[in-house]
Amino acid sequence: MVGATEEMELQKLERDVEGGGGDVAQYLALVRKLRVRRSSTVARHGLALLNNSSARSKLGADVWTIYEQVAIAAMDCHALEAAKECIGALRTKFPESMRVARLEGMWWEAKGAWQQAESLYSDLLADNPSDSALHKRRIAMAKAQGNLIGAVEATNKYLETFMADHDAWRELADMYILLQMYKQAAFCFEELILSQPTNALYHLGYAELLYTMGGLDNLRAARKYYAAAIEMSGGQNMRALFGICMCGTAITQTKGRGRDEKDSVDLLSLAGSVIVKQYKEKCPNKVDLITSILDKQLVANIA
Amino acid sequence: MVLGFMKPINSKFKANWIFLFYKAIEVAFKLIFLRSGGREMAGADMAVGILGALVLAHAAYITILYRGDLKIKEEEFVRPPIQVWIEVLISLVLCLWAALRVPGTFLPILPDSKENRVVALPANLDFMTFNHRGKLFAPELEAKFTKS
Repeated sequence: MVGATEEMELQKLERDVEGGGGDVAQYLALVRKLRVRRSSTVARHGLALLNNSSARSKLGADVWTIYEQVAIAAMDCHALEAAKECIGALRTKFPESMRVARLEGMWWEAKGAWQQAESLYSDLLADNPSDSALHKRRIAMAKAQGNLIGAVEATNKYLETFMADHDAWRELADMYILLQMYKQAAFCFEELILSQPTNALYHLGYAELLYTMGGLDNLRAARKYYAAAIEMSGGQNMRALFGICMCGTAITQTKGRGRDEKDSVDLLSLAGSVIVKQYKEKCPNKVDLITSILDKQLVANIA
Repeated sequence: MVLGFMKPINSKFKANWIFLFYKAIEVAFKLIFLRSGGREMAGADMAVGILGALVLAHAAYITILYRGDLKIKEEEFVRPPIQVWIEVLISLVLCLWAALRVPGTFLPILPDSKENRVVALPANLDFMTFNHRGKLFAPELEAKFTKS
């Protein structure tokens, strides 16, 4: 999870590093810690750090982790030659390592040589069938080849063994959404909320899924989860605030006019006022636009 | 200061011990301020903690003296004198202050606090795939570390 303070720190470090100054090793460590995907920056500056032999000797034992990180980033940028050099350096240091073998498999993947990657992974899995990272690579490979159904099946099989792996649940939810199987995706999000109940973004994701599915019951549930997301993000999550407004409108439209049960508009107007306040702080020239949109929505709901 | 609470218990040793006590505090203060350099506040907090420990040690010392006195007078030990109680309480407050201040500020733990709220999920790197449009703009990267 990336916290607000950590994100600020990352942005500051990234600006420094891109500007030529800054501590590259510290930046790389933060990228690893937050598990963000900044492949282009990491590949360029990480490789420059590794090319400089005096800077490299100062890194100590961290240097091997950085080799791995730079190798993956270079593969992500399709700088295959540089990635191969990094993997070669790791291979000479750790000749028997599974982790380096996995990197080699990823290199084949990046090259598009699925056969080689597949046979390498199968060999490795035969030696060590409980290596979860290898299973994940095979799932990713199926996904990369466009075989979403196969990837979903493999993930389901993987989750039977590794049930507590919430990254895999998230990936499965993403793939179900791509396949427009929203009910199944909703199940995955329920698992995610159970595993991390205080994470506002899972509540937000679940709410958006319910909103997409539509129907009065789902919309009402979505409104609840949007509200939970607002509560857990301290009212700072704009997407959840807009979600409340959208849900209110959708509920009114679904119900149709003239039905006697009335949903409260308090939540709508509250969310609207917070949105306007945020716009006044951060984007004053769009305040008029947003006020007129929100007012129209509110009027439509009251009528 | 704290020593104002001290009653003459054993006048023969008193002057000597007070002098030593003051010296010890002085040395401790000097050490802390010299070592902490720019972080004077942290040094001051640390000094408060050391003062608390010294007061506690002093309370223990007085209790021992008091018990020695009781043995001479052949009376039963019921409870330590009020001065010891007060010194123990003062030392508690001082040590608590130092324990709360010296290690640094508290980190936020509430999920909805402004510093701590989750703004993004980590990229799902275990399931990373490489066949994206980035391959059209591959950067010119060259690794030069194999030769060195």
